[in-house]
Amino acid sequence: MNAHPTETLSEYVDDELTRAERGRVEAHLATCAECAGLVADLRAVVAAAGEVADAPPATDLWPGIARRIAERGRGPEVVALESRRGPRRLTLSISQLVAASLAVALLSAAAVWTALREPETGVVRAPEATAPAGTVGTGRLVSDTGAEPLAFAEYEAAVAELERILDEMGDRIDPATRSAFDENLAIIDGAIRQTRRALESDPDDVYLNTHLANTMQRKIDVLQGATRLARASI
Amino acid sequence: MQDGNPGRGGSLLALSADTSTPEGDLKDARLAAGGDTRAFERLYRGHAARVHGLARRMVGYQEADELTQDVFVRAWEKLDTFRGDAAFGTWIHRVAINLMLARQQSRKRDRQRFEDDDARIGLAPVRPRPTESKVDLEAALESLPERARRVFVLHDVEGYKHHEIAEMMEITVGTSKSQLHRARMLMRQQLVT
Repeated sequence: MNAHPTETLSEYVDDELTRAERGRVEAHLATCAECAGLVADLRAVVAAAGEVADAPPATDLWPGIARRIAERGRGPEVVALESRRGPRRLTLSISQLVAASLAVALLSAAAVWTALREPETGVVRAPEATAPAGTVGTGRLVSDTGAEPLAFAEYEAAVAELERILDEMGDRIDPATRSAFDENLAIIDGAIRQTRRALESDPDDVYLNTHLANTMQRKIDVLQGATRLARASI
Repeated sequence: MQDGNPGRGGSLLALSADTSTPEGDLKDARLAAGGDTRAFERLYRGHAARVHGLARRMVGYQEADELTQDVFVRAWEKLDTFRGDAAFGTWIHRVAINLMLARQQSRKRDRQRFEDDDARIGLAPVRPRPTESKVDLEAALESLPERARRVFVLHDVEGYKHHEIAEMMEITVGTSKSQLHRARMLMRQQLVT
């Protein structure tokens, strides 16, 4: 071989050449001191890389890590709802919560708009509170949105009534809009299911109860917005 | 990739021997996944040197501290995905590499520092033969173009195969081989006089 096989020498060092290729390189190395020296140097570099040792960081990085994980909770893709009494966790995707929030925001705007145009006849109101705000673990929900607290049964009744109205009048809403309503209601329902599952193992957790109340209130808000839009289309 | 730390499995075990065991790590990982920060701190103490060393070689001294913190924060976030099939050290090593490669990929969009930046090579001082000092090898690494450096670290230091590197870096096996050879030739200039 006359030309220097420089580009193949790393593969030669790593023993990645075919037998024929290796034979050609070795034949060349037998007669070329320059390439033979290069192979020795490459082997030295590889050996040096394999001897690299690890050393701990010069400064203790743990305090910064501890601060950041305390701030972040369990992850950027999920919101961790950690029980205060144990390691059980509930995770809700941010996309779910954002979608639900957007739905509430859009529908609240729509509700305000229709409310300004029409009297609120037929709008389902949240039942009056029957226990002081702040009561938890007794079937009564406490929302931190400023809405009146609902008992579970009252919530179910309110939702059923709104859904009945929507079933009757829903065809008056533009199909694309109705589809968006349904999609966001499904998201909210999923969040409610997850929160309820978490509460089964920790029924007195204040955070989870508050979160459930807020999410249920969002469903009420969305359904009210939908029914208002339907009425506005009459 | 093989189950275990490729190429450097021995050094990992040696490193961890003083501070942690695979069984202890698994227990701590499960505790940490449940929110136990003390357990996670023990994992940090046991694996910080390994992760920091990788960070130093991949991104350099200046950014290694920050990147090491990022790796452990990311690991904390992903602990739910750690099943214990492989050692925790292997798992966090892969978390670290994925994060480092992703970080460097995103930076490519922000700066004009590509693998053809050969001019930087001439700025580094001549080094003694490589077996004389690991610090000098790491200093020489900092002079390498980024892609060649990453391939060199992953192959020659961390022990990954070309097909694994190709998958991680989204390049071809041929590119991995050519970048490795290029890196070795540049390292030779730095280390072998």
